[in-house]
Parts: sequence; C-alpha cells; structure tokens
Amino acid sequence: MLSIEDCLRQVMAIQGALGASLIDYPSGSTIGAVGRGPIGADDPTAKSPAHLVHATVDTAAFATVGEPGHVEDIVITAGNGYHVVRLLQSGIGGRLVLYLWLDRLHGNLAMTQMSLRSISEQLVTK
Amino acid sequence: MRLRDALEPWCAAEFSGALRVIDAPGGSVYIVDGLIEYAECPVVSGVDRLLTASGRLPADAWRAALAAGRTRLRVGDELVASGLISRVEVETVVLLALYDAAHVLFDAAVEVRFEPGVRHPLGVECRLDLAEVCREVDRRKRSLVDAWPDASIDTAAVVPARRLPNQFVALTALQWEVVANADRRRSPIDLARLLGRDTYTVMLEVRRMARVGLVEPGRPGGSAAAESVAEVRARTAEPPPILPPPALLEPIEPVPYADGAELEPLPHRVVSAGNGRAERSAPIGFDDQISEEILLRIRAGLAALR
Repeated sequence: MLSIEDCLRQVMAIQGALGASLIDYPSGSTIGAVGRGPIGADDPTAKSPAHLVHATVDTAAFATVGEPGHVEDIVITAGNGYHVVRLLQSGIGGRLVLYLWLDRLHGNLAMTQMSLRSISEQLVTK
Repeated sequence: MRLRDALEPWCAAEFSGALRVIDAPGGSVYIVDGLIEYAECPVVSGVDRLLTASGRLPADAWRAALAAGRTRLRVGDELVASGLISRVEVETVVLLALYDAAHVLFDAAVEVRFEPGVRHPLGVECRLDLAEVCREVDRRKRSLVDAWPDASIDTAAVVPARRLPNQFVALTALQWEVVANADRRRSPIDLARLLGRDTYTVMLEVRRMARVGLVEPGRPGGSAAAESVAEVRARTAEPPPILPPPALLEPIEPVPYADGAELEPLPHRVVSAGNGRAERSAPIGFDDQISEEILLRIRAGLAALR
C-alpha cells in the first residue's frame, strides 16, 4: 500500500511539479515533503499552506448556512507558479491536504488537478 | 532541566532506547540511533484514541492489531494489513501523536531515566532529528500564543458563548465537534481524548474560537489530565526563546598602537541560536581536545542513567 513517500513521489512525477507536501491542516504540521518549497518556505515564521486552507474553510461563502459543505481544491495562480492544494476527503485523511507547487511553463493545471484527484483517492481506504 | 535538553546528549551520542519521564505527566520518548522514533504521554490523546475514539477504526480492530503485532514490534503493519486503514493514515496518526506528546513534554522540567534498547511496539518507520522535532514544537507553541495569549484556556473548561451577537456563523467540522461536546466542564485536553482528536489541534481550535468570541474562557477544569498539564506548565523552566536570526559576533577591530603596529584580531566564537540550542565552535588552538561543554553533557546523560 502507498506510503507517504510513495504518494509524494507520485505527485512529483506530475509534469512541472517543483515541490510537494502532505500537510495536516488543523494542526499545521507538515507530514511529509519532497522537492523544493517557494522562497522563504524554510523560515519557521512563514505561513504554510495550512493557513490558506483555514482561510478557505473559514469563509462562509463556500458553504451554505446550515448545511455541511466541502472544498475540493484550491488553486492560486501566482507569479512564481501555480499553487494547488487538494483537500483529502475521508477518515483521518479528512484533515490532510496535498500541496503542490507547479511550474507555470511546464505544468498543465487541468491535468494536474485530475492527477491530484486520483492520487488523493488512493490515500484513504473506502 | 527541560526534557529536550535531557534528550540532547542521548541523541548526540546516537543511542537507542527510551527516555522515561518519571514524574508527572509521565510518558516516554523513543530514540533509535539518536533519531526520534516516537513519543507518548498519558495526558494527550495518543494513537489508540486518535484511531478508535474518532470512529476511524473499531476498537476491536485496534485491539486485534495490538495483540498480533506488539511482541514483534509491528502493530503499525498489522493495522495496514487489516485493510481497514491506509498506510498514509497510519503514518499520519503516528506522527501527529508524536508531535502531540513532544509538545507537552519537551519544555517540561522533569526527572528522567534512560532505558537502553527499548523499542515501541508500533514499529514506526519514522526517524526524526531532535532539531526537527524541537522546531515543530516551537512552531506549535508560537501558533497557540498567536491565536490566544492566555495559556490557562488549555486547561480550563470550554464554555461556548451562550448567544452570538450576529445573525449566523459558519463552523468547521472540528469547531462543531468542540461546541457540540463541550459540557462546560471538559477542558480542551478532555475534549481531545473524547473526540479522538490530537490534543494540540483541539487546544489551537479552542483558542481560535475564543479569539472570535465563540468560546468564553472558563474556570479551571477538574479532570486529572488537565490538572497534570497545568501543574507541569507551572513548574516548567522558562519558555524557549523566540528564535532570533543567527547572529555572528563582530570580530574585534584591530587597534593600531601608537607606533602603527596592529594587534591580531582575537579569535571569535560563532553563536547560532537556532532551535534553542547554542552551538559553539571550538576556540582556535583547542581542536585537539574535546570541549568541556560536551564532556559535561555526556556526564549529565550518564547521571540520568542512575
């Protein structure tokens, strides 16, 4: 069965992938990371993608009042590349997110989103 | 001395075994060849509650894996082999439990005892540098303080606001769990155990909710776990320093004598304040001797064996 390292290696195999990590967003802890992080990622006071996920799920606009909702992925187009955050859906995985930093020239966003969706489905059983 | 300082000589000397915490709150840190394999502490939720109390695994599946795997140190593998949970989930839960325990223990001033050769039955493949775990613990402490500065909220009863001043609120799943299970007596530590969530995340979420007014700081909780943590914090050594950027001491400028001859600049020490540990390079001329500092630390580590 896939280990964390295998999963991140699969993510890094996506064309244009610069760096990938698996993050537990409620605690903000990085569970695993490969490749490069954007400049400043090593700074311990810098905000990790976990903050991005918090900001998103905390935003009432993405849910309907009174109904449970869910966010599937977050894509940010920045000067230094695409930042794609895929939220895993079930079990303990429900708190994990896959974060991928994708090169703008060599990466294809739509294909990347599809690949991330299929990789994330393999990470949680049932 | 703080647990992280007591751990340091064992890790530096690449020992394998368990550093046991003798007084409250109890717990152990397991190291293999000087790298941290696992950490546990009775007041935090722990792997078993993270899996069973959260509803992710039925309790008998956990018990079966424990029975099958504990003597051969492969409980983790047994869990994956059962087909009920993925390897990534097991590795994640183990890491979260490790950081959870480290967060409570690392800055606690406790008596310790080292047991060489002991391994944890989970059979984890995790091998972390002490420095990495210290960094993560410091990051977690900083996040807690940023969310809400008063640490007593972690051991006080969680009291959701009776009424909201505005028309509606959106809650995340975790916030709902906290609010729905808060009985005005349970502290974040108790809620975490009940819900099968890691203790740190519940502490952080309660602090975040207090910041936006969803939760009021309650009175000190009565549970043994909460009291234990409060007591350990009260006795703890001063908090770890907020990390300044690594600084180099300026070399002393050569002072010209009246007759124009310059003094040699004195050899300077590089002090880097990363990770709460100060490293000093040996002063020039002392390379052949082991620095006294290392000898003292080895002696402290051996004394802990007693």
